[in-house]
Amino acid sequence: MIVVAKTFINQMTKGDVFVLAMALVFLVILYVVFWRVASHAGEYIHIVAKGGAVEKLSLLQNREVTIEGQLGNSRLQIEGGRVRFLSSPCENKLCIHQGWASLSGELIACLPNRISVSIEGQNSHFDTVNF
Amino acid sequence: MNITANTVVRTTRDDHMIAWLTALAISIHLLESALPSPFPGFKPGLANIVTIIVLCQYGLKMAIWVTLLRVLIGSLLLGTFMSPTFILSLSGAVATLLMLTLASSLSQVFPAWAPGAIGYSVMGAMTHISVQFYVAYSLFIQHEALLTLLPILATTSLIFGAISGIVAMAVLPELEARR
Repeated sequence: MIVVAKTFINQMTKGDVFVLAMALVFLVILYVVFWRVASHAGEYIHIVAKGGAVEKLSLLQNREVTIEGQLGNSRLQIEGGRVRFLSSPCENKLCIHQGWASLSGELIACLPNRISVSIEGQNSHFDTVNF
Repeated sequence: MNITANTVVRTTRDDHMIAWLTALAISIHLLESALPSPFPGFKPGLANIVTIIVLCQYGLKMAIWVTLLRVLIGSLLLGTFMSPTFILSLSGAVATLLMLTLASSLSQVFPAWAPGAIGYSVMGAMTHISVQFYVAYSLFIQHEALLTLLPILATTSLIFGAISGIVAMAVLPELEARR
């Protein structure tokens, strides 16, 4: 195994080493740029519910909100710059199990009840997102 | 030239070579599409081993033919022709080939810095993922959360690019010996 590895390393040219080094530098830059930008704390949440109604709430104010969805009322809790589903009339409760979300760009949703909550902050470039 | 029923299409040795190697690349491409993907957007890209081997052994022109034919025929066989998958696949392939063209012309100017199989492979993989990601982001899903995937995708790209390059490095001397 070591012998095989050695023959490969010996076969590598100066150009190969240069390319590998550049690739590693590129990777480091990607991690620094995208993992730092994306992990900005969110400032407010956009709630989209039944019929496309949009509500915008601050994340800084601790409160509980009740949202009317397709199946019934879901309750959201906003606390300490984070938001989570407290209760929802859906069957699988996936929305509650998603837990807290706090970073700009994160999204929690209850699909059966047609409610989505996206977190936005200074770095949100988009007004709407279509899928 | 009059094309009649008796016209014989002359094929060169290069044509045969391209056909064989493309067939090999397509087989790998198809086998790979049957593998489950651990997260969206991830694919090892082992068919590119053929691109790298062809580039090192038979030159750039053949590598371009083999790669573009593989993308086209692979998409026809998988039923993804003209779908977003195909657009992503093609844009990645074209960008990679441009990068390889640039690198192989540069290495003629600076022969001391010419990369080998692993260099071309890693360079291709990084170009592929960057351009593909850019196209996916700008054409299909403009959601900021997608950007957090990029470093992970680029890391796997580097790893699999290096693996493909090492495989090509292992195969090339064998080919040379059998020539």
